[in-house]
Amino acid sequence: MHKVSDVKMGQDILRINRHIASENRELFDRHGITVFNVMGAIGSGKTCLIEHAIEMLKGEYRIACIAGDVVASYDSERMARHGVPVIPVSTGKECHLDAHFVEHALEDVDLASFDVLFIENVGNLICPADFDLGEHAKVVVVSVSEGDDIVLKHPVIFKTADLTVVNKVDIAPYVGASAEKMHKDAVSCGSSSVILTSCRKGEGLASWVSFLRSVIKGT
Amino acid sequence: MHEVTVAQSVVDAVLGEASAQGARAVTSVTLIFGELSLINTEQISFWIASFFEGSLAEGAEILIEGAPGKVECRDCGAISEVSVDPDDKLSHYLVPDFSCAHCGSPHTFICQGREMLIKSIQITK
Ligand SMILES: Nc1nc2c(ncn2[C@@H]2O[C@H](COP(=O)(O)OP(=O)(O)OP(=O)(O)O)[C@@H](O)[C@H]2O)c(=O)[nH]1
Ligand SMILES: [Mg+2]
Ligand SMILES: [Zn+2]
Repeated sequence: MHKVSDVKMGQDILRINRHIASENRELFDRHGITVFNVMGAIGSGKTCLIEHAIEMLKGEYRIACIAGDVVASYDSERMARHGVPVIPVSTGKECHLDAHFVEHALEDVDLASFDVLFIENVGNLICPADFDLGEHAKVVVVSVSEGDDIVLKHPVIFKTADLTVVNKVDIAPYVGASAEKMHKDAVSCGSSSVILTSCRKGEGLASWVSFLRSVIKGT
Repeated sequence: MHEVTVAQSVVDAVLGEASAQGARAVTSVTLIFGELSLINTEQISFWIASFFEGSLAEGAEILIEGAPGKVECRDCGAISEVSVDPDDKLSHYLVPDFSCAHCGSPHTFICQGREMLIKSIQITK
């Protein structure tokens, strides 16, 4: 008769990710780099918001970006047009970035050459939420065209957000969505702060940059 | 679809532990997924079982336990359970309440319920 035994493991499945994420964070802190993990729905305006941030902050800070996407070259070219270094990370079939992707992306980069790093995550409101990258602030972007119930369908990612951006408020009347409802839902899910923006019309972009500045100053 | 990634990590860890223990076979695996983790437990069982095929854990029973979501209050320090809608059969928190049950403050953070653990495995030698 074979001997049957129970082996206690108590092993954290995401342990490796957590470990690499904290190494990333230590590395960033040592080099005085502030890192934003920009998550959000597909097509909600993550790249547009980063482009605006680069334009508004590049006079004060040296900026770099990681463009994470299933095919990263499109977004990476858009960011690079603003004159900052961009590291494209194509995830292929993977639906999120993890700390390991970020660690590798930074391998050949001079960390003394920038102060602020924007990481654009893969468009998805579920999977990225479970993976810490080593960032200092998590931003979650949604737009009115996803429908104004979108926030309540994904409470956890909004609960963990340091900032929720409800974008494309300019087209809210055309898609019949209420940006105010989305604002209220994000607050009730516990998002630390919430702003409404339009990358097209410029509305709310001052609040976007002042959020970024406050995080940069605080780290 | 990060179920596949997470399933692969589970399989690697279980097979690693099993061979370190000199197991002939793994007969069951017990996992804990917090109720606020964004994992579909049916899907992940399916993927783990299919990755186990052809290994010494083929056919192992996969048991999944939950852990309720809890929040800790930044204002009063109390820990309270995140209320779940009993009618929500999919155990998705469609209308979540992350506020502090003690003082009502919305300034809380999730302190339990997002974990994913391999609790134990049962092996034969
Ligand atoms: N009307 C309007 N269009 C916008 C706004 N912001 C972004 N867009 C448009 O929305 C589309 C998607 O914007 P992106 O910045 O590429 O969105 P993204 O979230 O980076 O998209 P993925 O990386 O593919 O997930 C583009 O055609 C933008 O021009 C806005 O505030 N108003
Ligand atoms: Mg983009
Ligand atoms: Zn309280």
